[in-house]
Amino acid sequence: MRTHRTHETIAPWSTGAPVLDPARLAAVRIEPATRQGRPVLVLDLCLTAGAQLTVIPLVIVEPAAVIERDRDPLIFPHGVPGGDDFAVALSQRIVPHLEHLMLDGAPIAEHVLTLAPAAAFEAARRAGCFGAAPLRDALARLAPYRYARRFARARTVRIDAPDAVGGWALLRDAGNVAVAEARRDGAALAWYGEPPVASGRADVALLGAGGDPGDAACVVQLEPGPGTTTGTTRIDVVEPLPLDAFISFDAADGPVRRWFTVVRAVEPPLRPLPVLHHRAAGGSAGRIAVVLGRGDGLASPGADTDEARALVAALGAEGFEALLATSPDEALGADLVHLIGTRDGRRAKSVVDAARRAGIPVAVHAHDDDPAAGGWWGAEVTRFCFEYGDDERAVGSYLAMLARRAVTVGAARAGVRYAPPGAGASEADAALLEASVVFAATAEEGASIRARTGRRGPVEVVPPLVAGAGPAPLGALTGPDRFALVHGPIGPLGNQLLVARCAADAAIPLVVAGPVADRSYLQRVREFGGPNLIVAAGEPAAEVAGALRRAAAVVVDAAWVAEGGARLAAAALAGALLAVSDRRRYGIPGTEPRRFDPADAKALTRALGEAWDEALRSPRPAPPETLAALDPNAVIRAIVRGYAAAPAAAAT
Amino acid sequence: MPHLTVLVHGPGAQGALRRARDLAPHVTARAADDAAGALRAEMRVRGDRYLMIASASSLPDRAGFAALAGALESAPFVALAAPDAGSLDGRCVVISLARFPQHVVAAGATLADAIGTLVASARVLRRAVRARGFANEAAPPRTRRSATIVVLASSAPEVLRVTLSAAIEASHPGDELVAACAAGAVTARRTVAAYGNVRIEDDAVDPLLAGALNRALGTAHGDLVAVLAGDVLLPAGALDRMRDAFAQIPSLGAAFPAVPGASGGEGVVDVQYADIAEMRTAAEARAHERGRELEPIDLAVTPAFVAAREALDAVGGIDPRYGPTRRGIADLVLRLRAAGYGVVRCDAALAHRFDPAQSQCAAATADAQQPVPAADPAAIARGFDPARRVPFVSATPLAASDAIAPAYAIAVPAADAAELERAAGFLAAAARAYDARSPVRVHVLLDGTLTPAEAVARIRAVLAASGKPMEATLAVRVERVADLLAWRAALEPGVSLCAFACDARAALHNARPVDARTLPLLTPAIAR
Repeated sequence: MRTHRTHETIAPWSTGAPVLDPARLAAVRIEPATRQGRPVLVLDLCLTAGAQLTVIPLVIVEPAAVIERDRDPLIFPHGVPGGDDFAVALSQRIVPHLEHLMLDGAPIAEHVLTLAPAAAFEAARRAGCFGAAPLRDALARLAPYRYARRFARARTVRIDAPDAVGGWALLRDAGNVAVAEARRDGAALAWYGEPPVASGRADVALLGAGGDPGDAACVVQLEPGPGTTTGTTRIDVVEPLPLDAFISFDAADGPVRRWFTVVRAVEPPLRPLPVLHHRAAGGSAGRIAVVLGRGDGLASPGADTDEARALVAALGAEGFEALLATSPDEALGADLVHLIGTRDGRRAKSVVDAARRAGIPVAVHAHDDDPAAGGWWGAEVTRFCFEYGDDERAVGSYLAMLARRAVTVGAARAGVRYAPPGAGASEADAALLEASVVFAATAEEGASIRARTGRRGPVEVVPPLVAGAGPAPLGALTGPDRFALVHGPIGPLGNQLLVARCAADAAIPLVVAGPVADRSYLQRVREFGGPNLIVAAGEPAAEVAGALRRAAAVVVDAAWVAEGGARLAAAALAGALLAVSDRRRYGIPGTEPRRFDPADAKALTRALGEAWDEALRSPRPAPPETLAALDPNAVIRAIVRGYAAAPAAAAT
Repeated sequence: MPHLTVLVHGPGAQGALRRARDLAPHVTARAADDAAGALRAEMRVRGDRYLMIASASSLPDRAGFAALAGALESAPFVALAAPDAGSLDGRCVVISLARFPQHVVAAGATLADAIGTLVASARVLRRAVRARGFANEAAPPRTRRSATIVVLASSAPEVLRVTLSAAIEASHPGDELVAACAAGAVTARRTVAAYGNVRIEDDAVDPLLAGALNRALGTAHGDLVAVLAGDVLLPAGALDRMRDAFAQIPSLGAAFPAVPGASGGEGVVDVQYADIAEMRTAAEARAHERGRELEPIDLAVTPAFVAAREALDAVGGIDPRYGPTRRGIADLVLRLRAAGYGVVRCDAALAHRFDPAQSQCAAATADAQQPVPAADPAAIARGFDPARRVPFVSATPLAASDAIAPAYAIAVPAADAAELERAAGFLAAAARAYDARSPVRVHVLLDGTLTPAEAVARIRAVLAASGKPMEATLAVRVERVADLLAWRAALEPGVSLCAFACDARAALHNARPVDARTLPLLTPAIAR
């Protein structure tokens, strides 16, 4: 039997004993959809035996496999009851109809194949229930409950809102969920099963119009009236466009279908942040232009952006006239140019060349993980392991191949140096070679730069510069519990897809935060990220980002091509445990991150799980040696010393 | 967009050609008086291209053609598109030629009949017809088909017994069982004869049994033909799963099992086992995990497969130049793919191929002397030219040679590789001097450490180099002989015994000596 573990919403369920007689298949709902841009059919199967139902939602069908059956055409959701024979027998009842649809060629509209009377199915369909109604409708109804999973984990939940029974079905594996008597709709009860009747107090209240929140610490209003957003957090539900736009709360994904509000939320516990004030010595002078090595570094901020901003602020405090240049041209009037990162090699080289032509010394923060030695390869091929794998076994096979470095896409091969044509790998090396002074995060990074580029000029080892920010409320976004965090531009370079898959494997709630560098990639993250995934699309405010790090149990960096270590350093300061790719050159004293191969899903899952367990079992603040290493005063002093050496180096 | 050929018929056809040439970037257009005949001629070699047949008055404009091409490209199973159902009488039809396998012929006296035949074939093959208002009739049910199982009985006896038993156990009532045997392979024939229901197809000429195999293919009764080399073990259920593949994919030409370590697309690497018992366990697990999974492939090299009878009829059998070696199998697969048939690896059907050193299978030993074939996508895209069809029975009169009784038997003893190499020079001369019609037969007598497989692999290369078709070459028998006297005593009466390099063999001392120089003197009347 082929199965998938994507778009996990409500797993197959039965209202009583599972109905596993294929002859009792009563209704098949058929809906055309797109998966990764390709047309598919989505089926919901309903088997009935008297009042008992078994519902198997989200069976995915590839049209070509219906005709040329080189695979079983039906891909069942993970957790489907019954075995291979059951699946084959169901398929034999359904596929002839699908075959006729395919060969007929008429546009396929959402419809139901009725094989036996199924009153409960019909009623559920009219009521917009998941598994019976069109997905656009059912998903929009369930979306607030999907959002509420973050509040419901291991808590008592009272639902007094429309679609309450569906909400119970979605949340019942997360917490102790009950439904108000008045919301126990007969059709939904017959379809989803019998939820407990709500009585007494609850930690979480999910309410419709006029609902009584009582003393619930967390309140979500599903039917907010006009003007009721004051003091609440509005959450938009994007119009579902199954399967690729499934349930999304990011208005950038499409038109907003509905919205609801988080009225009250419990804040997750924030670890105290050690006080590391930059005490500026002052007295310095000169104009310093800080330029990001990524062209999209301001529009799509990453750790390099954080570090650049912190540097500009610190230099300003020291008396320099520092600015964060939006373009390399802006930097030319400065007395020194400080380039942050060399990700875009051509841009980095042009900055260095322009400065040298103008006789201006150039300092470069290298952020160098030698991406041509596997980083660009991984960034290019990893997503294909998910996109080519149309069922769970295929995904597993591809991921095993990925771990063995056996995946090749075009020119992207493991084991040889590879960079995409636009990356400018040789230009990046030239920039590192020709810069007046280079700042490396570790001695190992410095040695690697020297060995690869042949650089003989100064290389200063400087830890990342971290700036603190006051915390902002977080509870409406993350819920009250600890989570794992991955924070950075969301796209193939960040490898969030593999992290999300591994976090889902380990049943660890994961927050993926950051600007969206590739929206189709984010779709894959949602597709494979499991039910506990929280996506905070768009760069969070610095205060929110700081709070995320202080609340996170684990901060994960699996990026194939990273933007420096400022965010990891900030997370270490905030007391989060780190799970870090073994490609990353990270060496902050006092922190021992769990290391993993970013191509190896098993290793990543193991590292994430170990870090998670340790973080929950024995949380501890950042040790003194970490605080000492990341002391901004020491960092700034080291950078300024490097500046002092730069003119002489530039002159030579 | 694949290349487009446009056939324009009806009044004004010549004048419409210019419009036709503007329909797409790569167009060949011509007027056709006999539209049905032109359609058939155009479908002789298909390949990855589109064919439009339209009357001059119904020739679409660019947008209309783009819509038809879009319909064809909307799914890999769409084979034919027309603006509407009425146009299917030949007014305007676009055909994706590669999606009609070679055996489908646009038969019919009129163009409408010819296209009607294609539409009917499309229904059977589960190919879609896209035309507004066209009522798609229900396709016939997918059913399991009868089979002829052909086993190449040319392995070591202990291996042959295992593989033959497995093949026979995998058969169903009504299946036909055939074993191809070399004429002198006494042990193999005795092994086969133990199973009373197996018909023996003799091969007097080719030590790799290509002639017998092709005759078996040509006379097979089954809708499917399974070919199994004697060194390939199919565990229980594997053959059934390969047969089921033809119900899964109606246009399937051949299905191969998954063969650990094979160099073609049927090869798999993710299976490990230490012995046959472990292999059977692994096969069961694989069948469970990968039930009904078929992987399309363009290259296969293992002589273990099931082929559709209609596909074999279209492309012919194993090329006698190569025999059932990896090169010969790859060539057959290439012809099938080019002819529009699918070829798949059945991932749920695991097969074991014995090591050549253990199996002493001549074809496997010969493989080691051949380069590893490579897939040829360009040849597949070009399509299959029926001129490349390999007939099951040679059309040359030499093929009737089996009936000729030998007057001379030349004994060529070979105990080891050095003696075989010395014999090779003599055999080359003999193969040049004589052919299958000659009353001369060479007996390569293995009375030492040399295995028959090693000898066959070497000798066949010598015979192939003679320039004659394999089925027309001199008859050579390779025999393992423990007692030369007994062998000599068993020789047919009236056959004159000659011997090459037999000084050290007392049993052959008084045989007439012969070598490459004296060979033409043996019987000048038949020397060529």
